[in-house]
Amino acid sequence: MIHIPKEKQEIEKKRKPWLVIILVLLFLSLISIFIIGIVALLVTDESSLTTGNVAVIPIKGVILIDGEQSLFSSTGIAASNDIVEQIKKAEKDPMIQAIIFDINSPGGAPVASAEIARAIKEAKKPTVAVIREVGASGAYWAASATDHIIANEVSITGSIGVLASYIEFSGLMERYNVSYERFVAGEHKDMGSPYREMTEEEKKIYQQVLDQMYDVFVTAVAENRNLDKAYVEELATGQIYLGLQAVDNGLVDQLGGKEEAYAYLAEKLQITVQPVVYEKEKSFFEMLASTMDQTGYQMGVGLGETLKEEESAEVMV
Amino acid sequence: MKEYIPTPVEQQYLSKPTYTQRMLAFLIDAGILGFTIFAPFSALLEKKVPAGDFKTVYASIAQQTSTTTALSIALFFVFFLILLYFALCEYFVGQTAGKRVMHLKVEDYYGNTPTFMQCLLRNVQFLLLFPFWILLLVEPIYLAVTKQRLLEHLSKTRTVYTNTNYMNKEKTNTFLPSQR
Repeated sequence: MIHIPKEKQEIEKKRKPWLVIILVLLFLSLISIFIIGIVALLVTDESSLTTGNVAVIPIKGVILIDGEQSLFSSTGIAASNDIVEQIKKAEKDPMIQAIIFDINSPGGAPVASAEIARAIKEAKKPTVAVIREVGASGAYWAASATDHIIANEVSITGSIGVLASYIEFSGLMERYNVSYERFVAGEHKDMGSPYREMTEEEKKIYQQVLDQMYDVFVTAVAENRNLDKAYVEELATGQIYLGLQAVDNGLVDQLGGKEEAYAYLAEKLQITVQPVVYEKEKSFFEMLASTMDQTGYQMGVGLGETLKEEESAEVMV
Repeated sequence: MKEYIPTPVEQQYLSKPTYTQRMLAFLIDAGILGFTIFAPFSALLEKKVPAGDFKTVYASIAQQTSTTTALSIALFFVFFLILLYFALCEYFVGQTAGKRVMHLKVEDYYGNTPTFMQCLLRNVQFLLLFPFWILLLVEPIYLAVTKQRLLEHLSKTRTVYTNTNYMNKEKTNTFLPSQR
């Protein structure tokens, strides 16, 4: 018989092995529930793994090429790099039969808008644009490349034109006796510098550039919408159109929203539409930036409200 | 009573558990973990992954990479908790639930309860990180061939069969030569 010292037996008895095992299991189970709970909250119902046959690609915010965000800002940017990537991904996916573009954007940079429009035009699968609050300027350029455009009655669309502006400080500098020393090799190298007035010649050059960009924009819309270029030029004063007006002038095909888009695709493709959102994964950094942005905004609103109330109180007194 | 102290060779040979005993102990632990630590993750998977054939599920996973990433991270943490279960139970008690049912015990080469680092090291195959997860495949084969797990070699621990009940009964060991 192996003799085990009594002290060790006592220690083993006191330890109550089953109790320890159960406590460890309980503790770790609680941690597991906690972790899974957090993961379940982060994974929303919309992003559940479902087999979708219609890709929904959001175009939300100002259209730019890159969507890099700083730690303290998450201003909505529709990055053309990301959107084009999602379009290609949807094109490659054999389960996807059509693509819907969920647009809520005031437009943005011309190159980024043109890149998105081109990627949409090159897509072989049926495409539908759904314009929500705003789908103007560059966002409309992208929407015009789709097969079918749907907008709400009061959506803001149109704004076909090109805008460029800058603030020129030369008068202010002169007032404070600040001079601008100019050294250039190439006469128009500093064209558009805020430190001096633009010459008439430079204004003409700049205007020519804008006119050419405008021409490209108008030509693209005319081709995409099968409209006469002269007709589009008449519409392209930079003016915004509500959805109601856009349907009448041919810029939009149908009034409605996402449901109408689903119905359109269901009828066209004879399928039951199962949408799945295609968008770039948000990194932890981007989620944090978004949270900080929201927090900062709400704090500002609260502070503003408080100051407004104090001011009103003073006035009343 | 004359105290018999078996030689290290005898102790090692006589108290070595069989492969079946060890597998049964592991299966008991796996069953318990399935109902406890792993259960919330199973529930989450059921909710988030659609039922269907392999092709359907694969297509879903390929489409929703953000959800898949979140599930992968959750799985990593769950397996980490499983690692902690084995490590903590073996550290505090020298036995997990399955081992206790099968009368197995973990000890170091001197017969003492192993240190926490030893317990962690001998269960590191549950870390879902390369190259540790490879050991999940290697360990059963190594155990079948050498009667000891590779990680037990590395952590200088061993699993022994102990037919003793420290709570009430007088201890016996029927495998010693003097008692045959």
